[in-house]
Order: sequence, then C-alpha cells, then structure tokens
Amino acid sequence: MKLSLTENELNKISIDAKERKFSIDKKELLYTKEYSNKCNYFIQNYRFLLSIFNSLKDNEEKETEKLKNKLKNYLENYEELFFKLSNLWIKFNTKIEYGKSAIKNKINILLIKNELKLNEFIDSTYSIGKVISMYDSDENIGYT
Amino acid sequence: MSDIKLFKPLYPLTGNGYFYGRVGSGKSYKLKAIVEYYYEKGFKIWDMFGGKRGEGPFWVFPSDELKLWKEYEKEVGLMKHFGPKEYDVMLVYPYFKDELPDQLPQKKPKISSQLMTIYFKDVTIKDISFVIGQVSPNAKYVWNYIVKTLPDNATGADILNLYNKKLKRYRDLNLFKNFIEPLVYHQILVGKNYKYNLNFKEIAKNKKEIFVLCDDYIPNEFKFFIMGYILRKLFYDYIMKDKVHKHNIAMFREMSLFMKVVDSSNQDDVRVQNFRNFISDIARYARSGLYIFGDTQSPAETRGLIEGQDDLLCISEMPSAKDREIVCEQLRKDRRISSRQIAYISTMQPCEMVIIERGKKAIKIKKVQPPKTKCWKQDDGNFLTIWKRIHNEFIDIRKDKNELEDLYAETNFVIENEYEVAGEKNNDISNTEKEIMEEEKEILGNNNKKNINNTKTKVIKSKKEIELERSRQLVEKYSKLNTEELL
Repeated sequence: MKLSLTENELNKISIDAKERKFSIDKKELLYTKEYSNKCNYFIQNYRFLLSIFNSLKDNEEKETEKLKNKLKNYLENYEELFFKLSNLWIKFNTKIEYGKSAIKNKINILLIKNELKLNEFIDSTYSIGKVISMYDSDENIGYT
Repeated sequence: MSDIKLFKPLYPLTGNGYFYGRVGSGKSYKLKAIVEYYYEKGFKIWDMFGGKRGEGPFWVFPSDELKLWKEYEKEVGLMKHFGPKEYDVMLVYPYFKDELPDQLPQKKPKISSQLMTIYFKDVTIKDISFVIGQVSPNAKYVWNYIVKTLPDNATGADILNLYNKKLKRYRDLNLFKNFIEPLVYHQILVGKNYKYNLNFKEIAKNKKEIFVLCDDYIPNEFKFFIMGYILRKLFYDYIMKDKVHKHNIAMFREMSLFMKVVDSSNQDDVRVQNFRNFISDIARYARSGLYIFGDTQSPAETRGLIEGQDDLLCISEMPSAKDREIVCEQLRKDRRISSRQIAYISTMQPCEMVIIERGKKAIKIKKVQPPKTKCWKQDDGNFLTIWKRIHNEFIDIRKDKNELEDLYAETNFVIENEYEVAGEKNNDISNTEKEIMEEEKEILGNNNKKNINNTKTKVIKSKKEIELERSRQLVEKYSKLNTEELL
C-alpha cells in the first residue's frame, strides 16, 4: 500500500514517527504487506465502531451495554485485533493514558467531528513509514 | 531499544526447565512466558498440574495486563503482535461421576471441554501404586487376573461383578477398597475404544491446542493416578515408541507438592515417593521427547531431581542463603555463576530473572516479557468465577452422564463357570461374613478351581453367546430324542 502525503502532513507524522523511533525520509510511505492488511482490517473495524457510536443515545447505560455486547460478538471474527480495539475502547472511556496523549486526542477529535480522516487515523493507531525493526513477542522472552 | 539486547531461550531443547523463587517472585509468571515461547516453536503443551490454585485452565484467558504490555512495548519498541493472545485450549475433565457438575465451560471453536474415561486394561500396577502406595503381591495377582480375564469391551461394572464372584476372598485388599471400588463407583473405568478414552496420538498431533488437565473435580487421592496415567501412556506408549512427535512439554506448577522428599513412613508418603520417582524417570529421559517444566519455591524441595538435567534453570528472587547455596554452589565452582550474581539473586525484582542454560554462564534478564495469557491474581477468584465473568458459556454433560450410567447399569458379561454352577441363583452379595464364606466355598470349590485353571482363556462369555449355546444344546437334545423316537 502506498500513500502520498503533502509536505505538511509528512512533517506532522514525522514528529510522531520520531517519538516512536522510526525514520521517514521519503514522501511516499511504504507499508509492509502485513501492515497494509492490518490497516484495512482496522479501518473496517473503526468504521463499524463509529457507526455504532453514532446510533447511540447519550449517557444511556443500556445502550452502552448493548454496544459492548455487539462489539464483543463482532470482535470474535477479528481475534488479532481484539486487544487493539479493546485498548481503543479503554481510551474512549477512561482517563488511562499510556504516555501518548496525542493518540487519544486525535481519536476524540475524529469522534467529535464524526468523520474519518484516514491518514490521521492511521497515524494515531499505527506507526507509519518504513519499519526498521519490530519486537516479536513470539520470538523473544525478554531483554538483558 | 538500541541499548537493550533481546533474549531468546535455547532451542532446540535438550532438557527440562526448572523455575525457583520465593512466594510472589513471579516464578509461575515466568514459567508461563517461557512455555509460551516454546509453544510458538512448535511444542505441544501438556499442562498437567495447576497447583493448589488450579491455574491450568487460565490458558483460556488472554492476559488482561494491558498496562504492563504497554510499558513493555515502550522499552522494546513497537511490537509485531500485540501481547495478549487467545490460544486453542482443550480442558480435560476426568470422569468422576459425583464430583463433576452437569455443565462444563466451553466456548467453541477455541475452547473445548472433554470428559476423560480410562480403558481399564491400560491401567498398570505402577498407576495403582500412585493411589494405594505399596502394591502387595496379592493385589498384583488380582489386577492381572482382572485384566487377563475380562474382554476388551468390559466396563467397571464387569470388574465389580467378577470381583464379587470370583475374587471375593480379596475384598479386604487395599486394591479393592481404595482403588477398584471408588473408581467403579465413579464410572471412570470403561472398555477399549470408548469415545471418552484419550486418543493420545490425535491430541499430540494437534500442537496448536493446549492440553489442560483440570483437576478441580478429581478426588485428592486420585490426582497422582490421573497425572501418572496420562504421562505414562504418553511417554512410554507413544513418545518412546515413536508413535508421536518428540516435541512435548509437561508443565507443573508448585512441583514441591509431589517432589518434596518426605519420610516414607506412611502410605501417603509412599504414594508421593512413587510419583516422585516416576517424574524423575521421565525427567532423566527428557530428550526422548517429553520435557518437564515446573516451578517450586525452594530447590531443596526437588533436590536430586535437577542435578545433571538443568538445561534451563530460571531463578527468581531467593532470599534464603541455603536455597541459593543448593542451586548455585556447583555452578559457582564451575564458574558459570559469579558470587556477585548469587548475592544479587537475594534481592531481585519480580520482573527480573537469572537464567542458566546448559553449558552456558548465568545471564541476568532485566525484564521478562509478560505472559500472553492470564496468571492468577489475588483479586481474581478461581477459574470458574472468572469464566462466568468473561465468557459464561457452558456445555451440558447430563446426556453423557446418563450414557455412562446406562453402560454401568448392566454387566455385559457373566462368568461361564459361575453361570453353570449357580444357574439362576441370586447374584446379590450377601451381607454377613458367613454367607460370603459359604458362597465362596460354593463358587471356588475344588472342581471349579480346576475349571478356572483349565479355562484361563475362556472363562467368560457374553450373555448372547451363552443363550445361543443353550439353544443349540436344546436343539441337539430334541433332535436326538426325535431320532430315537423315530428309530
């Protein structure tokens, strides 16, 4: 998957990318095949989530419960993404922050505006750019 | 991430893994993290013992330590897969009629529950010794007689029937009172090919699915027996005979419960000793394909087991100087661990670990990756409580219970000699000793004794066969009469 970005967008992403220790030096950002698939799944999930949110009435407990159940059933089909989404869910509903408040703010902005800005969304949920290295939790058990 | 060095445990495995540390030092947590690593390497995991807290079935819950994983991600960099993972798990419940509830946790397709029955001829004297301790020569004779006499598709009910008729004089044996009678009562002993007998070949083949022995509903006195039976069958009948692959890990928590060296003065201690020796035997031949991975608080509790087989020695915080000495002294002499490292072990953090691999020097792991599945926490409650909270899906086993009840309701075979001698005699067991003696005399009289000896291979027949034979005799009798009359 290739994405062309404007200069401004690239600068903005670069700040985030630096935080995550990734380097970006081209305007065309490359995603690995695996990442491309994950992004597609994630966007699909995100749209679904958003549609449920839109149909929700404010502050209704029953509706929230219903949402949780729907979400739970839906997520069964996307095992790998379950925890990523549940994490997202936590971010919507609690004050827990894992050091990157920018992520939460961006998601909130997206929710309030009720529109999907793809690049921003991907930026806030996945690292962008050529991946230098990733930690494989199946291949390692810790560090010395 | 650039200033840290990632750690991978040794692969391929050539020995067992032992985890030591004080209470709360995170040894079970590390045990699971490392076993998960070997799972990814293609090992079949047999979770045999979940300790007193029954942590075995916790494999079904992905870790809820999101915060811990996030912190870990900050240190190691972006992760290829998000940490917590849902595994395929087979929960195995040995069938103890009165102990098992009507519903068992199940959530297909990932989590399945399976009942477990045992083909009675698969039970060896060694297995029996895990229940009754010392097996007397008489008990050996009786069990061998039962195995030799009954056909493959007999059940526990037939064993009891045979016992009541042919082996009455042995009713006082420990074997009968503490082994046969309770197992028959619980209907776990069945014939060959019964649908709930474990198919080790198929189970081992499915490496993706974690085998978890759930001992919540096993009476205490049979826990060693069930574990021993599974391990013995798997190791000696399948792995050693090359019927299944050589990548198996048997996992135990709190090994001290059965590995502790105890005074062999009473029957319980003999049982523990037998089981301990059995596990030691398997551990000794680990390279044949079944590796023991277990944790315990003090190495003193497993002294004698680990020496020479410490392929993967993982040490967590260990404040006791004596414990440190037992586990590290030889290693220090061999210059595989320094005095400074030994001193460091006394005050390690729960996330840290010192690991000593075969032939290598000790390495300090600054941070061990959290397990991908849930570990027991004080506020959680037991497995069932968490299951109800998270999944709350069950499978009804009342139908299976009824099936076994029906199977046990009738004895399928009668003893030929008994049938002929006793005829339509009431088979109920008389209550008084006198009556028993009389019946015994009647059944085990001199003539019949001879018969038993002469008809070793053909002592019993199915009811159908006997009826058929009788009708044949009648036909022959009448046909003779008719011919005589005609003549």
